[in-house]
Amino acid sequence: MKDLFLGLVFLALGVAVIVASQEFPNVGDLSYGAGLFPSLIGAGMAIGGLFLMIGSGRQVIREASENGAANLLPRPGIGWLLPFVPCVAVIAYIYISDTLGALLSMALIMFVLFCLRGVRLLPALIVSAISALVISYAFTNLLSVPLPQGMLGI
Amino acid sequence: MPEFIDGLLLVLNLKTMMVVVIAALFGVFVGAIPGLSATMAVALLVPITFYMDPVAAIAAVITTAAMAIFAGDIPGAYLNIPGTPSSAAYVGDASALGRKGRAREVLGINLICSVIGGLAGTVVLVMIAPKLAEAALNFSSFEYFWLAILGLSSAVFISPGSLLKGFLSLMVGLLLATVGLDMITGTPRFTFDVPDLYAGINFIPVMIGFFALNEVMKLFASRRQAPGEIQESGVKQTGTVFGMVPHYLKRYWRNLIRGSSVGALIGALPGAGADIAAWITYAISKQRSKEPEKFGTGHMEGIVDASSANNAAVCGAWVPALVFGIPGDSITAIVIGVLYMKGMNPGPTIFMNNSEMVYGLFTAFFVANLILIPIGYLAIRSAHIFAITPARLLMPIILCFCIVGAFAINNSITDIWIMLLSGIAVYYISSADFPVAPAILGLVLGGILENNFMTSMLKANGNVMAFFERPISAVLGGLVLLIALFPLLSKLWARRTGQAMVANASDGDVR
Repeated sequence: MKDLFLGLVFLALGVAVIVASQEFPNVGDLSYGAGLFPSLIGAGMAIGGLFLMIGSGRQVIREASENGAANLLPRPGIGWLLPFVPCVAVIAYIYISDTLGALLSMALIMFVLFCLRGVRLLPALIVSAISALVISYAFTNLLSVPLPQGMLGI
Repeated sequence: MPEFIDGLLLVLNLKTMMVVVIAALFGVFVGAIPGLSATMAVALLVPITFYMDPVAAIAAVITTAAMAIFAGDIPGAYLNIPGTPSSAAYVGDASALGRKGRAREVLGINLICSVIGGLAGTVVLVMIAPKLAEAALNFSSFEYFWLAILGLSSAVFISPGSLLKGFLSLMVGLLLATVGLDMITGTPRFTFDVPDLYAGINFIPVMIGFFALNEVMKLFASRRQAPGEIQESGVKQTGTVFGMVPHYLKRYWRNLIRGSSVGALIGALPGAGADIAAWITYAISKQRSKEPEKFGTGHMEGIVDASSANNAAVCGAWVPALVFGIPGDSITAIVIGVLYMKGMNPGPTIFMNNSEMVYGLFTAFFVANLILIPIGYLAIRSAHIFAITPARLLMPIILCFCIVGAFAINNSITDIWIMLLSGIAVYYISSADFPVAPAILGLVLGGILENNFMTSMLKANGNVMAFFERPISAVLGGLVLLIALFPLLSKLWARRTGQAMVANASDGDVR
């Protein structure tokens, strides 16, 4: 089922790339240019996506006839959201680091993630504080990366 | 000769040696924790190497990679979980011995074989690379086009798993490589008017997303039974680390030589890395053994072959990376990024323009492999630390490292977004069993491929036959064809020998 969907995505992406590539200019009076290579990639994606769809489409039909179509639908629940928790944390960092500063943002993110993973409060607090301090010290002072200082810098 | 001395001095000074030792400790730690792979170790290291001298940076990468590949054996012997995919081939044997209380003995053998394999790979690198570079000086855009194709097609065809998915994964990488200003016409392509994208997508944040954020996401998906949280078995480990080493080396010296040389060659093949080397040499060892029935039940023979092969491959992979700028595996794909960052553009001219650097690099290889012995010994003695470090405590810290590391390359928020999006994309496609290595090779090689393709097309006025007219380019073209037929040939071979060797390497190169 996932393959069917991904095949569709690749097909659509491939076609979109080919269409977008037509607008890139050619070299001199030749019939090809900046668009040639992306078009080839787009064609590869579209054809590959099509094959993936056909292959998994067959499998889906076979499974549906064996077990009934209801089994194919993803099971309800919030389990599939779990892997996106770290992504939310990254987005949160992007938006809060300017005001809170890198140090506090990192400590906050780690603390929340620790708690979500079932680490007890006190160890979570200690580990996140120490790691945030170490990381921000290492990057700011040893590698001189201008991490956002936020309100601590004022 | 003075260049040689200069090269030695670039490595054998206090600062670089300290970097090497720290990198070795880092490599042991990351490699030994299940779920964190050698590639991830290198990807996390890159933002830090950005601020080092070129040779120190490269030495750090080499040491980390060699160390992590060895350290992957540690949880294999104690917990039956390979610490990195490259240790997966012989984890059954190693853990069977571990359950008998002989984990230290196995790891001692692993360590010495890794060192010898790594040194053999280094010798291959030192011997072959300069000679190959001389030949490569005559290469034109046609040959480079074929070399890039060769690297990409072996990534797709040799890597385990579905061919179609490997191909699509490669297309994703190539598409990412086209982002930015076109090199011939100067037109912005797929930049969506984001100024930071005009120079193209920086591949370091992408790699951090691919190999680190992706793993963090996987751990969060796995609920409670994360790898590394499994309890250590209660077997009392006895025996010395190196006590039995001479005995086994005397008995299996042929395996050691075979594993090291085959491993180095597989590594030197563009697109195939340490994990494939380990699987293939293990299969060869089993096929050639006088007692193949003992394999998988705690037999040392296959361990000798495969654990020398994976470290040999790590060094061998540098041959195409240095000489042609074509990475041999995902670690050297990252390395090529580091080399460009440091102004050491890989290619045959690196051996002329930067000869003391190259000698420094060769020295770094020897040092990195030799430092495996003391640090590896300490790691074996204190192996229980890795068993009790829960991955749930590390993942949030690694996540922060990803964020800050992606930011540090250009001090730009855009790079954090790129890291995030590539991590999500790879998490999704790798959960549908797409291999990741072709995508990263596509990203690194896409620019080289397109440049040489377009240059050749302009030179030949659009005549495709010109790609086969020069003798070397015709040979390379033929080689590509041969690799394209590899899955078919290997199936025939597997049918003949009755074992599906490549199919065994199921979860090989994803990490």
